[in-house]
Amino acid sequence: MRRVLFIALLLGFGASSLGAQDSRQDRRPVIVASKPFGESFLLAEMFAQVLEQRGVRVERRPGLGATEVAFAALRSGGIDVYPEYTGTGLLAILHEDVIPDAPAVFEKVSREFIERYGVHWLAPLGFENTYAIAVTKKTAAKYSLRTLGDLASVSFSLTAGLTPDFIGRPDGLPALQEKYTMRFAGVKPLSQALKYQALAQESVDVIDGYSTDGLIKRYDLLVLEDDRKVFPPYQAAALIGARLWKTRPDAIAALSQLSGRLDVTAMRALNARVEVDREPIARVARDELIALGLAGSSGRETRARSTGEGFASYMNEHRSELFAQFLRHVMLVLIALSAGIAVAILLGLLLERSRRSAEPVIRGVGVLQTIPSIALLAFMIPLLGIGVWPALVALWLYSLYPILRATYTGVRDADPAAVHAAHALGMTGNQLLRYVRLPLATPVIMSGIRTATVITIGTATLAAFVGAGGLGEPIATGLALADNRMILSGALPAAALALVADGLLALVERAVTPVHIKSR
Amino acid sequence: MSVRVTVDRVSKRHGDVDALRDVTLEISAGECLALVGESGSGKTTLLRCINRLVEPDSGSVLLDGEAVSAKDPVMVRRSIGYVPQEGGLLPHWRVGRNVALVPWLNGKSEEATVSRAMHLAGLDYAAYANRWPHELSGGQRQRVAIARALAGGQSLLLLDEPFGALDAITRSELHDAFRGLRREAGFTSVLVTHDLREAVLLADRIAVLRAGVIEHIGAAAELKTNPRTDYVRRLVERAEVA
Repeated sequence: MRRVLFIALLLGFGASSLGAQDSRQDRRPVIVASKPFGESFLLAEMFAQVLEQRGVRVERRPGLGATEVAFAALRSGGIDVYPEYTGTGLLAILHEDVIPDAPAVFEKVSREFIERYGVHWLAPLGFENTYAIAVTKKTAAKYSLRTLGDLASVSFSLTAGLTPDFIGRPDGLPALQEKYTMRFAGVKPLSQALKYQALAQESVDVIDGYSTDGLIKRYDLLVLEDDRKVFPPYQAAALIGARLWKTRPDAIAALSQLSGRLDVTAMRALNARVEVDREPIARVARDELIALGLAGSSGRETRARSTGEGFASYMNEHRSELFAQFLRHVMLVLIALSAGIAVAILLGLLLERSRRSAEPVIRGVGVLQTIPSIALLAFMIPLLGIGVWPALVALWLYSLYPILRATYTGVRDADPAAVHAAHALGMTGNQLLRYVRLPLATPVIMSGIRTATVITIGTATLAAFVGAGGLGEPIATGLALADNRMILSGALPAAALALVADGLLALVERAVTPVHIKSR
Repeated sequence: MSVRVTVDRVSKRHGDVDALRDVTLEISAGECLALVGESGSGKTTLLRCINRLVEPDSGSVLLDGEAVSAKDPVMVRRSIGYVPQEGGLLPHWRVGRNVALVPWLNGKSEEATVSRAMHLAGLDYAAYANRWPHELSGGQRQRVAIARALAGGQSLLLLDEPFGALDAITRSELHDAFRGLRREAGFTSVLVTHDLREAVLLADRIAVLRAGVIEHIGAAAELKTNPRTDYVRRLVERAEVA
């Protein structure tokens, strides 16, 4: 009884947080979202604060999983605004070819987005965040480098440290090789986090980056000019959903105040404060709004955060939000898994009674497992919006296969001698299933449930990418900001949860395992 | 209380192989018939035709003149006792529940019925009813299987190499128990075995099968003195030498 009550409470918790976003159209807050990386977090926070300055109520949904998810959420009305880049709109959403001219790109995406999606681009914020090829000032002086053309002429004596992504994609290194006849003496694949250090230590001479990386300023690097316009222009701007555009002129006016106000130098400095100095995003955003005259210095007091270094003090400081995220995580897993167990076991039993369809059905469910989670989540946003529902459905779908496979195999292969004898003595097929096959299959079914549980607890961290919360939230944000404490504050509780859940299920397994197997 | 079994021109093919070819035989009420033969001779297939675990391609099986094919197969099986080689006890059920299987399926499980069946098979109810199958020896497990085959008041018992996996001493104990049981309960029985000496010891008549055909059917003495085929003669000779 107590367990039923507990689950009912969790369901209620889930339902109430689902219902919140639909209550009373006119009172609905403006939902400000971002993609999961530092600059996007910061711009979204500036959007949110500039709206709040004008008395607009705001709900924040930071860190939606990449372009597909954020844009799908915007189109379906799950969110109202998020920062996007014109180049991304052109290449990743419209799937058009590169246009080298920034105003032309903006003109194109503005027109096409309204026609195709009813989505509006506000005037750009004022900076571009495109690929940047950077060298130390020392190297620049030695070879007198100013442009990529200059670099190409000496490239045969230089080593480049490039992200694997940049090496591979057609508008990355291949474009440089083609348009500038760039021929580096060597190319080392380096991760985002390592390449600035590698450059500072002179292990490499040239790196790729993004033009607004805070580290460009921090390491005092020179970004070489793309004089032949190889890299597509990526102007940042607010992307506005159809409903907000039609119904909230006040919000549009507030957001438009930021157009043209942020240049690349300012953005680098802001990014450095967030990503290098680990200042709270809310504070950095507010300082900048004050500097731009868009917020009074006596504005809303953001929660002061200590800059304590230790992991323990970090956990302690954020315990209440971590606890809420933990509960949300447990709720997501419990609901998705309960539904998964119910459906998969029932289906497994049905398939034992009609074995001809068993393999095709199980393989079909197995194919679901191969759909990349972000793709599955993005696919469900038009149907289910963002938030808890798509996450629950995705987790539920992922939990089915291990349980279904285990159930079917378990009941099919249950002690053949016992099954044969019971059949020969007059049990019907259904009686065999219920009284012989199912009880004998419980250890196998439990192992499927345990597998599904651990997978679901891990996969539930992706729920953060569709705004469903949970322990994925600090993990995703921490990854975006390269903040290990933040990553661990989500990852460790998730790992502990997986261990505890598996331990509890081991006890359940022991309780339901037939006595003759236990005594083996 | 026993039943007469008639097998009338039964044939069965498994793929390209003739498992049974036009087999006809009659088992009188209360008789024990042994089916002897090598693996692949069709003896187990014939046994399974009787309780409709196998459906013949042609021909019919009749119990007291009534064709089993006209009845619900589940009800046919519940009316016939069955003892497989390794017992086939349900490992997750205690002995008492195993024995009560058929009465329970028929909706009339009573402790007295179970107790009587166990007693017939040489098992004390109080000592064994609450034990698990895996706690018993092989011989005790076969006794439970025999009790289970009788607890529903069955008048026909099908035994598929029931003593084949036991050691010599236990097997001989079970042989004695089976003979006592027949005297007391008086059921009709069909015993599949590859061991001719076991057949001689337990059965009234013996049917020797080879490649789906009955080579000889008759009493043990007749098999020895007047074997109908060379195959049967060699079989008898080998059994005596061994």
